Amino acid sequence: MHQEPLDPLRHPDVVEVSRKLRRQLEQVLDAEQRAAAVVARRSRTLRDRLLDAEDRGELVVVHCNGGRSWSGRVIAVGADHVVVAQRATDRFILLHHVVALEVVA
Amino acid sequence: MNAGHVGRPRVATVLTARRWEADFVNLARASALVRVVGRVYDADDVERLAEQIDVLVAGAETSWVTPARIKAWRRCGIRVLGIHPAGDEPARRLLHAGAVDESLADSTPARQVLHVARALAVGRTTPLRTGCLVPVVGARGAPGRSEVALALAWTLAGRSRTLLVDLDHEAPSLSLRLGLSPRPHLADAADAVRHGGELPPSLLQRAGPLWVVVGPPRPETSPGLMAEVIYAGRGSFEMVLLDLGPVPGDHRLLARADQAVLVCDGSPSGIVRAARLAETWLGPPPLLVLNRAGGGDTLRAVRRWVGLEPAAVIPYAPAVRDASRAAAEPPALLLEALDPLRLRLEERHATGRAAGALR
Repeated sequence: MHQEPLDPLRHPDVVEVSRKLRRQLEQVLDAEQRAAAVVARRSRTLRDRLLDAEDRGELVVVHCNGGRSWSGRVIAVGADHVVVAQRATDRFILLHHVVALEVVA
Repeated sequence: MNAGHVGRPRVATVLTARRWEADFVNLARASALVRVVGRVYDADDVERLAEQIDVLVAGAETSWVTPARIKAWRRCGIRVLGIHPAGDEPARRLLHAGAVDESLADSTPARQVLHVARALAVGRTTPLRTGCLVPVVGARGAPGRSEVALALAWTLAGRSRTLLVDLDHEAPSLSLRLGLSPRPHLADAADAVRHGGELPPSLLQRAGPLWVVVGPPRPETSPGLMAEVIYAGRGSFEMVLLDLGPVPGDHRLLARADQAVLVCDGSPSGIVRAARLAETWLGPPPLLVLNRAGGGDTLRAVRRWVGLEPAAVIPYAPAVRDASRAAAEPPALLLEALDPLRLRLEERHATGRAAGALR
């Protein structure tokens, strides 16, 4: 009777070792990605976050020095200012006046 | 197609330490040709943001960018642009096994990647229907999770294509319960899904009207691989039931589920344990099954302690225990008791679909 030759790569021990190696490789890759996320956060500026808010169309509250705050959607980020759209008006705020950004939705 | 975003498509990237991703994001911001709506570093975030993403740019170097996930994203209507290390043929094959819309080497200039992403956004597709994910969970102390999961899957399988996956790491008993072969099991299925993004029928087992993935004898499958088997299962089955074992209420699979079933044993300790599980619950509102129910006091105690009205009540019956020990199909008494639960599940599933749920 004809028998198929045994494939050595399907030996249970080899399968087990390959699964273990894959898990280890994935752990290394995951650590690398976590590090990349940390680096991205460390190198980010407030202007970058305002750009994100504009791209995502997020509803934000921009707190300025002097205690005033403006809520609305970020519709533009210039070189030195950010534009927050409120109901009837677009408010231009100097970036160096912004002390905090709160993302509402 | 979402024509409103053709002008400035919404693009997300899978965040990576490799140079191509930072270059792409910097150029996208500087040129404003696309809107960068996210740099995702958690697999679940892609599903969460699915409605806000036209194109996902994903590198094959990320461990969770796999054929099964790429197919799941495409079913959500997202176009996928895969990036692989230049000359890395296995990585390129991995992307194509997931049927990416386009693949480029990471040596491709960022401007070209950006133009390809823009071109892909024009063809954003309508989300496809995916299978309904229903984990069956319960507190410690053998409240009858596996038996309820099996009987519920059995009754659902009569109406829709149903897969039952044994994810109970502590006691993966479905193969023994159904008299099935211990192999192929979950780890074998995970290996196949990792390579091709699909669950091959040869790695599933048949039990009556059901398709079953039995649990491995040892908990050797990582959460990521389990998730991939589920992604693949949802691509080819209408209902995917998970026998999840005694997990905490904030388990990741619960948060991702469409529906969930909580099994509560009718004993005093069973009710208190179920109440504790319900306190930490982060999944969809659970459908409660009261198992081995006693008299009227039991029902009152369950309402008071767990805070849920049972969707199904199973009286204590030796026939259920005997069937489970004889590797027989679920007894008629159990199937009948779970019929109201099946109806609730089907009704909720239909409502979710009508509401355009992407999950």
